[in-house]
Amino acid sequence: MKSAALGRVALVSGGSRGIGRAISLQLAAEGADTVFVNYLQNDVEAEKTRELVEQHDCQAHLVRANLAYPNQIGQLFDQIEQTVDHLDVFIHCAALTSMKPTLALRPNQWDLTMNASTRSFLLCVKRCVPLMREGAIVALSSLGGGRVIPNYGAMGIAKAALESTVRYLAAELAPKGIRVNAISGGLIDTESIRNFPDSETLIEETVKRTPAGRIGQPEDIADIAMFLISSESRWICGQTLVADGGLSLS
Amino acid sequence: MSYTNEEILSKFQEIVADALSVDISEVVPEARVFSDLAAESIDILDIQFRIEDEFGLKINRDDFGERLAEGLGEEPTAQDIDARFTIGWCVDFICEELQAAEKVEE
Repeated sequence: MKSAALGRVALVSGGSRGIGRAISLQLAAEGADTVFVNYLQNDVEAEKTRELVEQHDCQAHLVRANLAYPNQIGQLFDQIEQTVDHLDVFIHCAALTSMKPTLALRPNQWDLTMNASTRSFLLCVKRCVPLMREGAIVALSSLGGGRVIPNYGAMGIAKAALESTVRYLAAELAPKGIRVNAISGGLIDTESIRNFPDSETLIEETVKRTPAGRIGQPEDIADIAMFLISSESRWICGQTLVADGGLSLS
Repeated sequence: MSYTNEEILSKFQEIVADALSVDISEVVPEARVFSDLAAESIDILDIQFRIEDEFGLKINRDDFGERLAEGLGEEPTAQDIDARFTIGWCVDFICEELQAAEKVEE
């Protein structure tokens, strides 16, 4: 497969840590010209990501913005537009939630999860479209969007809405040459796992139930993202690609 | 834009009451954010975001944590932090941040 990222200009929301960082680095490693790395508030981790991206001779621009707030999405894109005249790729990894039973959610916890994880995707895409002559958009979902995972109600509901948003946007944007898809990963080895109550047990049980015999690594998802922005995936439109080592088969 | 200390307290009380779905009469200076108002970690983030949006601030989480633990010894307990982390302490913190940003009326 030829490089999917060669010479391209990309934005990765939530791109400074975990899966987002792995995707930012993979874009750089595969020859992207410029990667805008959006992050929420951890300046130290963002700087680390910038250094790692720049090691691949790729321009890295860190953009701190809280995507739960539309005005900050506006500022993010104003900054992008001051730097480049187009975007080729947008990969949406930003997400924020509270791990607790669904019935225990407070209205503000529901709102923050939906706004930071799902509404943010729509608002970013609205600003991406005028910058894309043609391009690829990928949203990060998870198995919890289609099945029940204990204490994952808020995020699972937000991911279900995200996958639906992907389908509607894919239909509206395909005629413009912009493909929109999603990736649904299983349990991925990032800091976020630690937010689950009793995360060690969760990991052990997930490994037992995964035919591939391990939990996912961020790089597993980054490789799928590269496929979905490549021309080899040109006929995939509005789909959520499950990449979970077989976890969802049983 | 600059704020008086009374305006900061009043705005902060509104933000906390709305975020935590509690009556504003409960958001008194001596109320402990965790044990009296039942805030969870995501609520602290939510309140932080609302403060940043309302007052045009960027709060550094490490600074915030260090200031909260200041003077509580090498390894403060959860109880120590809970007792320190009151509405009044938060308002003082915001006032100091706004003063540093020259946004408080003398």
